[in-house]
Amino acid sequence: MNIVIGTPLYPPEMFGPAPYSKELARRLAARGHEVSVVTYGRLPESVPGVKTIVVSKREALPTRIIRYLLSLKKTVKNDSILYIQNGPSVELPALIVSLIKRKKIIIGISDTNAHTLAQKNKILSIIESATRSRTQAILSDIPPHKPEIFPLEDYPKQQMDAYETAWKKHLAALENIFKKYGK
Amino acid sequence: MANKNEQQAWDEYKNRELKKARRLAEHFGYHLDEAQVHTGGERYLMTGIQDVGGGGKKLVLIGTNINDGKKVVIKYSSDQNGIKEIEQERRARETVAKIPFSYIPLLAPAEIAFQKKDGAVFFVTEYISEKTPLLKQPIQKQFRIALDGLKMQEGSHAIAHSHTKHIEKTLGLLSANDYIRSMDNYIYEIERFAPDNRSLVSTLAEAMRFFHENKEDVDRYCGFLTHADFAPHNLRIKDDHVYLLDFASVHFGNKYESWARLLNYMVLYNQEIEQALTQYVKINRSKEEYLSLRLMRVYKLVFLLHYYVISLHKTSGNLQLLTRERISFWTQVLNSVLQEKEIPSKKVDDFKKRRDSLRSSAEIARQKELHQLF
Repeated sequence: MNIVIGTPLYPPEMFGPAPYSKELARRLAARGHEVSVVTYGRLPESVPGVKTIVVSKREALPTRIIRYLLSLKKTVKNDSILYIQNGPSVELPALIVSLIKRKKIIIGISDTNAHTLAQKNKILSIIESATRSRTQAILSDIPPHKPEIFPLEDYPKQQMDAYETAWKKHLAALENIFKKYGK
Repeated sequence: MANKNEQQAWDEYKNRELKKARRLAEHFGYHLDEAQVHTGGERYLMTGIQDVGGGGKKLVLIGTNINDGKKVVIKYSSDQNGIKEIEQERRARETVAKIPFSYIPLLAPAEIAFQKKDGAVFFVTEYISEKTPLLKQPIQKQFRIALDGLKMQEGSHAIAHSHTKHIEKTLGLLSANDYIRSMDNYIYEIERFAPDNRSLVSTLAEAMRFFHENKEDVDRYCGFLTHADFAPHNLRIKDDHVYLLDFASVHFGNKYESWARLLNYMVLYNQEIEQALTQYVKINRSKEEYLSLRLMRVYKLVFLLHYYVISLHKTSGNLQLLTRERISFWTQVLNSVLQEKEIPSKKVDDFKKRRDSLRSSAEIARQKELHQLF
């Protein structure tokens, strides 16, 4: 499948949806999917088999949102599945692309802070609800961050197993949604 | 003798300024300790070198607040450059405390007073006493504390236009090109001062090549808050939280600059921590991050070698012998990092024995206070 992941943050960013987006792209590419990531940033970390399109954050907000919109529009093909991470800087361009391309969106709630912020701000709240009106599915059960391995301590086997289980479950749920996408 | 002149000039300056600082301290309600070890030993070598403590003349003093009996740290200067540095450090502290895009707040000792009188600046901050200094903690705790301190800095990443606008003027924002320019200058000066040191010159050429070839991996991790002198003497541990000292060394740049400083320091003081932190990056982070860490270690080692090479002419006797030993030792460490090998612990132990036999008693006292090692 051709999957486009839209995310506001991607490594070298360390917080919010950044680590999840990279891990997801890696795992989907390893399962044979054609994966593209559209993100804000400058020099993203590379993942074998994943195409990363970057929109500079150094420009004024309206300019970078337009650039993101254009990049997303160009990347999303007829057969693409559009899976975005929540946050207004991605939701707004994705909403417009979904209307132009007549495509549904899948949303992952990987940034709970952005969701909380949207509930307090009228404009952000409108963007969030408008985007949700175009969704095929919303996933809030996002796998946790990878447990860290501390060299002078025991290997965190239990947490690592739980992490892998969470990813297996998450990928199964995602692929199930992907299969039904657009139907 | 060059050493005598430089040291004598520093001692004269220090004694003259200490008298003024004591008068001013009493005026503002502080009492300065009799012994001020931060002003002794090899401290004089740092004067005039911009990248080490700013290069201006200033004194870092320990005293007591007469009102409440609490210990304080006082930065004092009547020198134009020294005053500028203290003011800049204060601005940096204020900016860092208010970074709007920070995910993790940075902890620092509280400011108590900032005063100007008789052409001098007097900057007082809280003294954070430690029950157990970092290097005396159990090894696992040392690792966790160091890691927390490093992650605390990584929580601030200036990437958007509004971020850079907020910090660029006060803290500075270094890119790979800035690091390359500095490295070029260091190497140029090293070659000028030590043209006959063939092994050093060829190692530096390799270092520069390595840096140029991987410039993008330096840039990739730029824009992060980083402490250029992130070592135990600039950390205080209170209730298991890390407090940072010396905000003159805080800027935005490659996030592995502070890691690199700590790792290079730990080569001498705790090789197990150096290896564990390196391993941590290798197994938990991306291959680009691990490469960036090696690149910044190279940068910091070139910086250190530059400091010792240009200090050589200010030294004589045992200190000159020690400076030569240091140049040789750190050249070997630089080679090890370039070849991605560990420096044998025997080499480290041999160097430390030699260093301890050549250090002056004033420097031993300064190191004891700085690192709280004994």
